[in-house]
Amino acid sequence: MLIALGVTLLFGIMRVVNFVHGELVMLSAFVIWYIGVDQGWPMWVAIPVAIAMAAGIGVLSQKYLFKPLQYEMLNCFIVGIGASFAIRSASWAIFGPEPQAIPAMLPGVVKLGGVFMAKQRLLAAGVCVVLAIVLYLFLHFTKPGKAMRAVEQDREAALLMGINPESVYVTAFMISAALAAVGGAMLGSVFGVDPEMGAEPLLKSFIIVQIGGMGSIAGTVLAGLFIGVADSVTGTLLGGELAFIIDFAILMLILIVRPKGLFGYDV
Amino acid sequence: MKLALPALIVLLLALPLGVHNQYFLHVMIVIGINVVMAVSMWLLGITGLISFGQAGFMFIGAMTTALLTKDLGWPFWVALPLSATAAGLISAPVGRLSLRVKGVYFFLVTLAFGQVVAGVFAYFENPFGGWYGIRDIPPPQPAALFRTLDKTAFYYLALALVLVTCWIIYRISRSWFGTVLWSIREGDLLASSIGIDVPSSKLVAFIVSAFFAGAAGSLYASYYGYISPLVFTFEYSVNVLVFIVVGGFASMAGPISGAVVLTLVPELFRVTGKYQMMAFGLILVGSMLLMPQGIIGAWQKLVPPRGGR
Amino acid sequence: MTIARRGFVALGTAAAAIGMGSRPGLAADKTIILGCSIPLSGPAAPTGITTQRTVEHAVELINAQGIMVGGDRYTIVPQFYDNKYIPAEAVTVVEKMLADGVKYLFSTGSGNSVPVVGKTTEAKVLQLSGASGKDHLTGPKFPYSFRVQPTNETAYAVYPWVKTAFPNVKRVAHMNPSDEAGFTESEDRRMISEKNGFTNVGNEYFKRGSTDMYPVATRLVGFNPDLIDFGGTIGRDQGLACKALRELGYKGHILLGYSDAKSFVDIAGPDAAEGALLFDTLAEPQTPEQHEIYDWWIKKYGAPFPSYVFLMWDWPFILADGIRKAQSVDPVVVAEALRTTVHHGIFGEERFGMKSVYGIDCSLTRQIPMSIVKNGKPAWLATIDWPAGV
Repeated sequence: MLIALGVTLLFGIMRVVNFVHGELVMLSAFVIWYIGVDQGWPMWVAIPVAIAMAAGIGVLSQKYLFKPLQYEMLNCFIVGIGASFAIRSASWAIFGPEPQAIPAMLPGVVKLGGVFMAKQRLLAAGVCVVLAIVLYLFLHFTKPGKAMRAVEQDREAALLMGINPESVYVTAFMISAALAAVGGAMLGSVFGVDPEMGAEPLLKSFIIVQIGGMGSIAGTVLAGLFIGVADSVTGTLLGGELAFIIDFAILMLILIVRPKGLFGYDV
Repeated sequence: MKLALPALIVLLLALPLGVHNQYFLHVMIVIGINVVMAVSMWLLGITGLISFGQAGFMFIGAMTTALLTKDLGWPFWVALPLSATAAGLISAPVGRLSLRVKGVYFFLVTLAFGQVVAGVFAYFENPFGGWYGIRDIPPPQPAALFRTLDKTAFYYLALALVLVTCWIIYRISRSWFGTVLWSIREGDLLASSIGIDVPSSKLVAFIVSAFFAGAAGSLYASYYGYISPLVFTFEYSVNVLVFIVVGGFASMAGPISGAVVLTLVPELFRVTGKYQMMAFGLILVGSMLLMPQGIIGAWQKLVPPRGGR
Repeated sequence: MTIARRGFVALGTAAAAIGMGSRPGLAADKTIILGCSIPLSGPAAPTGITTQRTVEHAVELINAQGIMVGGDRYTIVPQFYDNKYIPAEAVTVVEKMLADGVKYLFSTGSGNSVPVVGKTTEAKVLQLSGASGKDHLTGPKFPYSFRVQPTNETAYAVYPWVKTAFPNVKRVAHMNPSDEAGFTESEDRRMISEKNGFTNVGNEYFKRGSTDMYPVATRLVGFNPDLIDFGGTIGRDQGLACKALRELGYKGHILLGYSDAKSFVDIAGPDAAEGALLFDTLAEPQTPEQHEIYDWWIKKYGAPFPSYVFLMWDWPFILADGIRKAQSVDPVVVAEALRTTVHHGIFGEERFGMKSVYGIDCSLTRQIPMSIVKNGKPAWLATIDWPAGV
């Protein structure tokens, strides 16, 4: 039961506060549903198409929304909120009131140490872990990955070292958008597809990123697990209502005691 | 330019004499509440800190008013200052703890605080009404004046609250203390290096900001007569932040104009029904791209301010 | 400064535009404006969108016939406003309607209907709500307020039926979202199931829209119930909770309502959903009238058909009947007439009742259709007559 949040790990790797991200998840899920379910094409066609589309939108939003704002945090925040209002509202008008579902790629349940888990959720968790590892390797051992970390830590210094921050940002947006698409595929198959589906995971992943420590992949993965476990444990022991209060109280405490996040480091 | 402000106030005072459309007055009252919230968040905002707990303090103020006027039968006029004070008092320890963290982390701590407030009020049905909220909160005295179907008195009450709030916060922002707050924005270290007590200054701003949010909540409770955890949500705090950013940080006219414009604009699109949110979203995107410094930034570019700030 | 003034002008222009919009289509007809405050964005949007489409069509049919009052022919002009499922927004929507002179108002969701009922009562406006909210919304204090969709009240019909249809069921556990609707449902359902001789073994709340339903499911299974009543649980939460319960090995009955049967099965998965009982849900049309509505939707909007359409279908016709019976368009007179109006709708004889519970007849009573998930598909199971004496 603790893997419910596995899916949200994916979003944790985002660096820019991008509210459109949730809508990318939603749009990708709809694309996958449309191609893979409605039109009956196989999933291995649908998912890459969705990833390509999301990556494209990611690059476009970087070029036309966030670059003109010079990544000023609050402005990006507002633009993101505005864009996501518009996209969500348009989606209701286009897709209609019926939620859709992407069938599970692995139906059925397994029993692991006395705990029942849907195979699809395990698959989602597995995909998360694999992607997290790939991303870690990418950031630490490839040239564009190192450039990305350099820009994150000190934009000016990176510029002096001959790294073009703009092209790094483009890559970052593209990758994170592609991750959003994979997230959409996973979320859609576990929770169904509707225009609001991107909103809650986004808030949750934002919290996970903070707790894990900005920019730390290992921290993000652990924080995701931690939040998932905490959520499940308090929910099971205390009932949903009280858990809601306790979860946020715990969050407050963690942040006050460890302002850099549980696994964060001083930059 | 000098005459503009008094002229505007006279216009606002005279408004109900000429306008009898109750919907219009209602929108003006909503604007009033939003302006108070935006200005109070802005005061803390000038130090560079954004509190997502404003809706929580508003809820505390609203709840205090509801309990005092409904359960204890106290007059609203006593409840209003007490509600603001309650929000201010609770904000002191909260601020003490949460101000230890900075930037995005402060966002999150205050966000969590807002959720805890809503969660606590929702959990304890007695006396907070739980998820049902509290209904039939009595209007201010004399009740004959504060009526559901004639909002003139409520309008003047809201206007008075707006003027008092704006005046006080304006004085603060222009005082020596205000300069201190602006300097903190440039960097904690820098500010403390010139002998400013950074933590205390932030805390005072936090408390003042919560105080006025509580006052806005008190007005909300007595005007709407109904409060519930569904009202004072994290989303509402985000809305208030949107008012400030779209309005502009540079001066207090920013949050005011942001709250006014962004309350009016959705009303203009209300007739479009399901397209209202779409239009609103596009307007937000457009306004940020065209006016990255907010309405006030764009205005100052068009009409460069004469003289000093 | 200019900004504020410009705002005033713009608002005035908009007001004028609205005035023009509501001009009647046919010069000879008089119009009745029906203001609808429904969620058209946000998580509750599906109900709002379905409601708008259904009401538009129902009103079309009513207008084709017209409502004769005295010598005048009236038609209904519906206006739809987005209340976003936020109480403060709903209040603003209603303020706008009152200022525009709307005399007939429809509102969905108790969180949006309860905060405005005081205003509509004082303004002597007829308020029809598709909402729970019990005596906070309807009763002697609110003589012009009616509830047009049985919500928590369905339990009065469903529990006696469960007793006869499934005599083995003894222990009942309840699951509800932690909000106003959930509390109302839980209170009433526990009271009614006990009255009918069941034992309430558990009562759990969860946060609406939680992604992880395992905690609440674990607690529910721990009570070892024969039937779990999902009460006010709606939308995605239903499918996820059902899936979680079955995955944890729960074998008993699951009772839920307010659902879109097809998407419930999609999200829960056909195996987990199998055997679930859906109250006040008509999965497949049974009568010719129901078929007609079904066919209209499929033709206009395509599959799938949301069964919620049936629940929102009758009330505009009931309102029209009430106006005809009153022979007046004064909401106060119409309200009195509505109290005794008997409408023959898609669920048989429909009338406002429940005086025994709320003090006045104010909540719609009618047949309650029951569906069941069978072979992975929602199917009609039974139609329960409204119990006598409630």
